[in-house]
Amino acid sequence: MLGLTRQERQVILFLLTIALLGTGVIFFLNTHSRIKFIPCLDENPGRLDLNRADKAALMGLRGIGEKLAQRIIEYRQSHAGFRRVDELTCINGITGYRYEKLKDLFFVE
Amino acid sequence: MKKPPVLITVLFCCGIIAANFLRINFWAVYLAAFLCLLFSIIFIRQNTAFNILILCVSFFLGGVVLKNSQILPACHIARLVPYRSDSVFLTGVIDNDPVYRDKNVSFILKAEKIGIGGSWRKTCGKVLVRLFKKDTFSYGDRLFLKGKLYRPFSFSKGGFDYRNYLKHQNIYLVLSMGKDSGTVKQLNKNAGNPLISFSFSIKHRLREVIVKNLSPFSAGILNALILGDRQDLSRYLLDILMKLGTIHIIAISGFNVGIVAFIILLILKIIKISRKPRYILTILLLIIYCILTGASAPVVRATVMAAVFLSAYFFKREVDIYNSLSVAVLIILAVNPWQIFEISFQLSFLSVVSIAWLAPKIKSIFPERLNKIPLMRWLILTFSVSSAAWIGLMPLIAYYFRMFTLIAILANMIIVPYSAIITATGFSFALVGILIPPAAPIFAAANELLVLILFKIHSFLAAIPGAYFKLPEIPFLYAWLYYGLLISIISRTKNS
Repeated sequence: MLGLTRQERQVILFLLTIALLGTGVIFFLNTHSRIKFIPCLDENPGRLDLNRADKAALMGLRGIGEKLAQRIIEYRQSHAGFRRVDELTCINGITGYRYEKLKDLFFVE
Repeated sequence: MKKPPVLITVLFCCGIIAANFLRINFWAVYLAAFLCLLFSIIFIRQNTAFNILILCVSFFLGGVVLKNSQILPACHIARLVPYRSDSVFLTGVIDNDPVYRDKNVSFILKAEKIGIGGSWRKTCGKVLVRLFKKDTFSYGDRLFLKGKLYRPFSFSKGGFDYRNYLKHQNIYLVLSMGKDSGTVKQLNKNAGNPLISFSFSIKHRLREVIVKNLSPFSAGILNALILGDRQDLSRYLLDILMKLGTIHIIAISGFNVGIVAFIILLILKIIKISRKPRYILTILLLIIYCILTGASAPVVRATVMAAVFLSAYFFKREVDIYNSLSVAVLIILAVNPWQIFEISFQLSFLSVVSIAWLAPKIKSIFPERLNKIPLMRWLILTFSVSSAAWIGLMPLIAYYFRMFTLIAILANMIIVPYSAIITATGFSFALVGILIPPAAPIFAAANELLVLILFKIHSFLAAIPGAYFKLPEIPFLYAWLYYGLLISIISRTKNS
């Protein structure tokens, strides 16, 4: 009916065993998974901590390029961190208009 | 040639279908599969017993795979939001190439975290996001969203049900956001798979060349033919393609993949790359092409089959179309068993089976002496392929689209070879547009003309009286009866 050689039979058995084992493991993981709660780090989730965000995270935000990200980090280092989000206006390149766009993307602990 | 993968695949598919209709516990099916596997190891030396047992394992494994896909983990977003939610916070990564329409953009978001009722939880699963905003997004963007989640509406047309269609893609929830409601923020970029990002970047370059150099009408057709983007096609054209039974030319399928594979092989041969690296490179480029066109079932099927055909050279084995098709089915269904209930999957595989099985039989009806004349040979071949596909797909098209297209055989005989030319020229144009931009307008002008002729042919054929008929709703049982009858007639003809 199938006309399989001994080697082909072994390969098929191997593949079917792996497939069956794999589905069993997935089933076990799915049925025994639990909901993991994450501590809410800030009041407004989705925002970045101005004192912890690295350069890549800052550049990931719309409106912040490499130079501005660098200036934010330099300001943070020179002033021992941000105390308020509105300190962003002290950075060269962040005008009132830009600050309005950026202020909702950050928080300070 | 023996075809063990075919039997195994058929039984695997039967197992999936049976598991969908029967209410059986997962462990019962799993135990049956495990016992059959155990006995097949014991009876490995006995032909008949081993064969029967291995087919039983395939059958039960199909059931196990489907039952497994029905069970969602506790953290799955569909279990956290079973039907509808108030405003939730959601973070996740864009998992496909966003589709832009006139006023909205839609994409699939792979959910990572969800904030409901003041607490954040880790989650998994996919959400269809539809934003009526002018923002631009790309694959791999990690987003923060605030909006309402709801289950997709279950509106249906013919055999198509939108909720089931999304469910078959493992999407159980939709997040729709109006112009002035909700919040979207981009947290970071490039959080996706680098190979997929690379494939989409190539796609964007190709699309840019097409849109920049062609009229919107021609660009829409070429985008559909080469890149699988159908959102720019006019309703009128889609309607004509449907009525003539030639809509498959704009759905990326084996036909398009075959042409692309041919072009890649030809280019690599011209630049004198030896056979082994040429085949390996072609398989890799086809995988990239498969990803950039959205990796739908027909493209995955065609890519797997092409890969099997090309890799046969390395294994020094004769390739059988049914075996390679079976491997493609197994791969697709192992990843997502719900695909078996999808129209595109059924049409794609049935068309290949019909062509492989019926076309040689139709061709043999014609006298051998006609095959010696080159033009007649070509005509007989296109007629055989076109009519084989028509005979094989007719009941499914009648069931799903409620349409009976008499003109389909003639239309496909003309349009399929013609659109092969357009696909080849369109692909060359897009490549030239990237490599030698100043030469692109020349290729663009040629493509513009070819697309216009394609449209004129379609309009002419659609205007023929009685080209197609609208049908009432047909029970699926009729389709089964049709295939049973077809198989018995062909088998009887073969025996006689």
